[in-house]
Parts: sequence; C-alpha cells; structure tokens
Amino acid sequence: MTEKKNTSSISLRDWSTFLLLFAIISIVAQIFNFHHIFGIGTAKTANVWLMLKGYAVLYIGTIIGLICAKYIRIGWPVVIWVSMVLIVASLPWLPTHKFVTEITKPVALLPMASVLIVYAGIAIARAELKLFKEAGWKILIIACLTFTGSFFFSALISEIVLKAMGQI
Amino acid sequence: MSESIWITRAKEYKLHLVVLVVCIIVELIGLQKFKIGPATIVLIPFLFAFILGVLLTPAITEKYWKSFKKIIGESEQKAATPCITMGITLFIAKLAVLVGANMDKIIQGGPAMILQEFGNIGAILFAVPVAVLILKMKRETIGASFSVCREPSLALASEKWGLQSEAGLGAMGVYIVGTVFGAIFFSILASICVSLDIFHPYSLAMAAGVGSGSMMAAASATIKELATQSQQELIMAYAAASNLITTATGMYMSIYLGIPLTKWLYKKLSGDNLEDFIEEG
Repeated sequence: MTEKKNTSSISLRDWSTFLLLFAIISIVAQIFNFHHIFGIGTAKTANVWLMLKGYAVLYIGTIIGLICAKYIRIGWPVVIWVSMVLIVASLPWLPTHKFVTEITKPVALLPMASVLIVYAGIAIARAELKLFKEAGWKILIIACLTFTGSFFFSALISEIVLKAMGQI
Repeated sequence: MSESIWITRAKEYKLHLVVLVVCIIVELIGLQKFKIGPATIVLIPFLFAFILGVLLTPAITEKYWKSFKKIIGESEQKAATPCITMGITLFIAKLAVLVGANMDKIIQGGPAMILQEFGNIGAILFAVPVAVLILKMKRETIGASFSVCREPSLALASEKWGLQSEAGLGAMGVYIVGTVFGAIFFSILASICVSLDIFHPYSLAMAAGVGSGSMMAAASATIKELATQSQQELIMAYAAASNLITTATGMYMSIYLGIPLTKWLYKKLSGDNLEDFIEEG
C-alpha cells in the first residue's frame, strides 16, 4: 500500500478479490447474452463449467502478471505484464499453446467488456460532465474529426500495405 | 487487517449489484442490427451498458430519480473508478490469448500493423484546417488535434503545456469527449466503414486500435459482427495487437511527429507564429 507508482496503490489482495467478483458478474452476463430475448447473442456457450475453467486460467495468468508488476520493477505497467504473461503462454510455438487457447475459448469477450463499461459509465463524475458542457460544441466537432481522421488513415495505410504484401 | 478488505468490498455491494442488474438487462437486449441507407449500423450491448451506466451516476439521477442516490451515491461512484483499473486486467488477459495464439499471423501482418501507427497524421490533417479556418479556434486547436487523446497523451499535454493553458484545455476537451462518446463514436464509425466496403475488415481491425481499450473493444466487436465467420478471430487479434502497440508507442509518436506537425500546420493556417507559446520538454 505504500508504493506510489501508477496503479500499485491497490493492494494485490484487493485486486485479486475484486477479480473474482468481476469474473462472476461476467459469467452471469455471458449466460444472459447466450439466452438473450431480443437482438442477437454473440457468446458461443452458456456452459458454466466450461466458462469457470476458462476464467480460472485467465485469472491465474492475470495474478502472475500482477505479481510480476509488483516485484519486478522495470517500469512496466500492470497491463503490459498481464499481456506478456498470456501472450507468451499462448504462443503457437510453445507446448502450452493448445491448452491455453482451447480452455479459454468459452470465455466471450463482449459480455466482459460490457461489465467493465458499466463501471466506467457510473464512474463519470460530475466534474467531467460539467467540463464536457463547457468544452462546447467546437471541441466536440474537432474531437470527432480527430477520431475519424486517425481511424480512416490507419485503415488506409493498413489496406495499402496488406494489399501490397498480398495478404488480403 | 485481514478482514478489512472484505468489509470495504461488502460496503460497495450496492454498486456491484447495480452493475450486475444493468449487465443482465443489456445482454437480454442483445446486439441490434439495422440498415440506414447503404450502411448497416450495429449496436452492441456494450453501448447500452455505457449509456445506462452514465444515466445512473448521481449527477444525472438527482435530476430525474432522486431516491436512487441512496443506492448509487457519491461514495459508490468513487468506488467504481478502481474497479475499471482492476477489471480491465482480466479483459486484457483474454485479449492477450488471442494475440499470442495468432502471433504467427500477426507477424505476417506486422509491417502493416506498425506503419498504420502513422495514421495519427490523419487526425491532424482532418482536424486542424477545420478548427482554424472554419471554427476560428485559437491555440486549443493544437491540444485537440495532435492525437486521439487518451491517458498517455493527456499526461504529455499536462507536462508540456499544463492543463490550464489553451493547448492543454484542447487536449482535455478531446479526452473528455473520448471518455463520454468514444466507444459509441468508434462503433458507429466502424459499422459505416464495414458496410460501405471501402476497406478490408483486417485493415479496419488494425485501425480499431488507435484509441483507448474501450474504443478498440467497441470498434472491433462491431467489425467482427459484420465480417465472415473465418475472419472473426483474426479481427480481434489484429485490433488487440494494434491497440497494444499504440499504448506502447503512442507517446513517442506524439512527441516526435504529432505535436511538431500540428504546430507547423497551425502556424501555416492561422498566421500565429507561436512566438510566445510556452512549452516544456
């Protein structure tokens, strides 16, 4: 708790406990995604046992990443450590590849992202809403242009390079 | 001490229960697809989730549903912020598996993936002329146009200009617009681009990584829905890998390319030679 670097003010115990809760909410979200009433569902399965196994592997990988971030201090943020651990574990050239990819397949990304974004929505504070009003319509237009320009140009460059290399 | 964490977590139970209920509602609504002219618009549950979340913040509920503040008050709201920081790691873990498992294909697409980082220039070319010539904006243009302003860029702006300066306010404005509307905007932009069929879904997937994690999630999920079954996994992997590269290199892109180019174009178009422009580092 005494550490000051970016996200590490949250203790490992707090973090790992919350992730359990987060996983449970995500699993419930995925079940309802599968058994949706309107629209289209994106999850491939609502089998709780398969999901639990998948979440367990992701959970262990995340905790390893968190521990690395805490004890190996080379300035990498938590998200980079967690990514690294799971990228390496699932590389196609390693024997762990098949196990990690197969067992985590039942975990759907989108319901998990929905859970996160509800927290993000609730966290939008009064100050931010006020600033947004004050920033005004001009900034809104410029922001949209900035987003569109960046997205469009990235897509254009990718398209040209992928075509030139014969990959699409 | 050992029980304190359970007590603090338990105190926030109302927040987590509300999140659970909102998630159930949005997942039951499911993904909605409809056509407007030539474009197919995809609304993913993610978007409904965000809108419902914002509608339940105390600053909004006090206007239409005062008693709800007893359920989500200022303290529950405060507790929501670290939940994003913590929860996102599990989401990133799943994305990382997609990246790792498809690493051979990502390396093949590597040159495109790295070069598309220069797409940042597009932001400047689109935004600066409109800001200066049409909207007659002043130096906030510089802060608002140099990148899709996410946390690293905002930190950079605050270090270089200070957030109270004109340029800093521009960066702050775009950051907030991105936080409030980013996911929705990117999702709609992506569905228009896919259905107009100008770009291959893989190119769009790489472009989906230009902003924050939530922008990427919204855009890539939308692209995925409109692509063929066999393309879906690689779309998510490309988007996630591109976002990872942006997170790692975005700041340097802004320092060495984004900001100098924005300032140059601003000078050309506005006639302001930026002589008294205060900048550090």
